[in-house]
Amino acid sequence: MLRRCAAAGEAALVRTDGQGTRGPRGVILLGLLWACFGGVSPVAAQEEIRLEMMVALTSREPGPVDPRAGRIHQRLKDDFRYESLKVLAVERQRVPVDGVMTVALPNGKQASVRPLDVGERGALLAVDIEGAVTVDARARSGHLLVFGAGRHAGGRLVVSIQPTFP
Amino acid sequence: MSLPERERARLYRYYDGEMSWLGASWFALRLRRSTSLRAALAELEQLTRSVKRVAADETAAEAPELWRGIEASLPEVDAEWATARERPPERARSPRADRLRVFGWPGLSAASAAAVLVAVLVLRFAGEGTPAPALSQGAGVVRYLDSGGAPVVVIEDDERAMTIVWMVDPL
Repeated sequence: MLRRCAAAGEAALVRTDGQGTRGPRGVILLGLLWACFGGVSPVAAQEEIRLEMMVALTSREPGPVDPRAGRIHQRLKDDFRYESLKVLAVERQRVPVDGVMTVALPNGKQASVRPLDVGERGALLAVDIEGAVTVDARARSGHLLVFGAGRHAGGRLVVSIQPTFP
Repeated sequence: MSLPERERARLYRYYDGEMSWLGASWFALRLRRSTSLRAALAELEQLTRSVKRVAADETAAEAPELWRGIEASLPEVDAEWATARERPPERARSPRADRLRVFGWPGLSAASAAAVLVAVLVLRFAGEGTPAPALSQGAGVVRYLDSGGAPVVVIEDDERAMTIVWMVDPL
């Protein structure tokens, strides 16, 4: 990119000294400058991502662990005490950058995610778990964001968000 | 960090090395001129450091229950907190204070010290024209966190590709 920028700079000097930048040469020059500012990044064109949001409830009452929450359980069980994990809702949507995906929580509040940007280092997500936390996170495809969203019905609400994109 | 959403997104892209060379250089110039941007960047750096410190805390990682580990360290925290309150403000900052900020205890923020350090780094590489990724080595997943003052634990588990943000009950 640096070389391309330098090349574009040299081209600008040569051409503006002589005949100006009109016509095809000007278009090429503008194209090169646009490329320098990152306009041709392959992931920049990515306009929507797939989001999966899951709402679950942990409880200290003995019971099963929902297999849909198996991946979360494998990590949470080491650090947090609970006996059962029940999945209340799972929603999947394709969400464009700057779009919003919202799910209702059983405590009357809601959780929402807004993809702000998708780049080589992952998707930048603005997450708002109403009444709990507001988080901005940059997650790679498949990375799981898990939020303990406070007490509810004798247990604890868990909201997970998983972005997927090519 | 009270930046508009668009501005915040630009800052994250800069921090993550997602900007092109020219874009990053332009943003670095803006950083030199904008106190609020520098403060926001400093907060971001501080949060990343704090989260990493918590994630690397062996006590928390090895305890069968995270809260038990935190609870065990509270007397030490209380002692430091009491000592810190008696010191002049500029001497009240300690490594422990960074972690407390993540957990949501008020009053021990080290952001101002970090702001000075980060501003120096930013100005230095901006002057040399170095692209932004130098700052972003090893950046974590969480970029910004607001729990309204409630205690929160953040666990970043790279191996399992999972980040946990967990509100804990105050004592």
